[in-house]
Amino acid sequence: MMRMSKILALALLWGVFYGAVKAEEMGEITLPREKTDAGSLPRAEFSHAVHRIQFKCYVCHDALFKMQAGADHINMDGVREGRFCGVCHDGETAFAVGFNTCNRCHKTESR
Amino acid sequence: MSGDCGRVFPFLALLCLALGTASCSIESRKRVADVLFEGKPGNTAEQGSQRVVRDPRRPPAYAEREFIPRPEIDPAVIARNELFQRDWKVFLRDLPKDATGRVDWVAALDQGRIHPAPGIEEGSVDLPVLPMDVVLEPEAQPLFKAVFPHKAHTEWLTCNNCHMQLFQMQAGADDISMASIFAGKHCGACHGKVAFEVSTGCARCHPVLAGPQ
Repeated sequence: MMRMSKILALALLWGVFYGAVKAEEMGEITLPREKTDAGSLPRAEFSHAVHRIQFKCYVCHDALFKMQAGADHINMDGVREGRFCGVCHDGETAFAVGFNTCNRCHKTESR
Repeated sequence: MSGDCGRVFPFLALLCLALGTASCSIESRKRVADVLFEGKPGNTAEQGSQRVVRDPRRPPAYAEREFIPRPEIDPAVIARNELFQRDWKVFLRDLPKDATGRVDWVAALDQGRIHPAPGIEEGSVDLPVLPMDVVLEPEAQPLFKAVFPHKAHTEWLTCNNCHMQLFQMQAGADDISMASIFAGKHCGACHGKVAFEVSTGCARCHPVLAGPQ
């Protein structure tokens, strides 16, 4: 019984430590999915932190994206046409959207 | 004794034959060699050591192909590709952190660790920073005096990001409370979502709680 509780305590401690170390940055958004026929393609993830390193908030807000998750109906057709993320992700300002960059947003493994 | 002789005989015979062949002229040597080994057909002897040069049946594959120099890659393109491939998660690890272990963005900007651009186009200019503190002091509880620094906010944001949807342009015009913030209104629209956590960042807004500096 003592041993069991010791193991449990260790597991809890490890969990807390691991959680603290793996603290996710603020504003990691998994975009909502509107298509129903997307199969097993993972939902796109957006990291505010990664974008904040390079750009101030007002570069995107509110002209490009509203400050409400899901308020803009972001879709790949729009991105390819140069709207939404495609304003920058065109291969000039940021990496282009294509079949060799899918998994940079549609991440198969969790962070 | 007879057994030994039978074993040695083939070797002796071969030795005699080899010596005999070596002592013969070229023609007879060839004839002997043709009998023993399957000699080459035709008149190889007449050609002697001269090489026969025939015309190639097809043109050589590489001789006439023109040399294409490797195109010089623009260093700007290389730099851009490196930027596109950069692992920003690794970069995040070295930035200053707050109490929750997440990046303290205001400190990172103040320390010059990051240089977020004010626009997509090159040469974009930063929007003006407003150095104005708004002090919100509840009359009954001076302990929970809150100071809103416009400076730290306008370094990242522009006016219409908050005004007028979230806040009126008049101090005290909005009924801001911790309850409304925790409910995701007022400051809670960003704080706790993309800006520092409300529950662990008390002293960053309430300077009296931080104690004497």
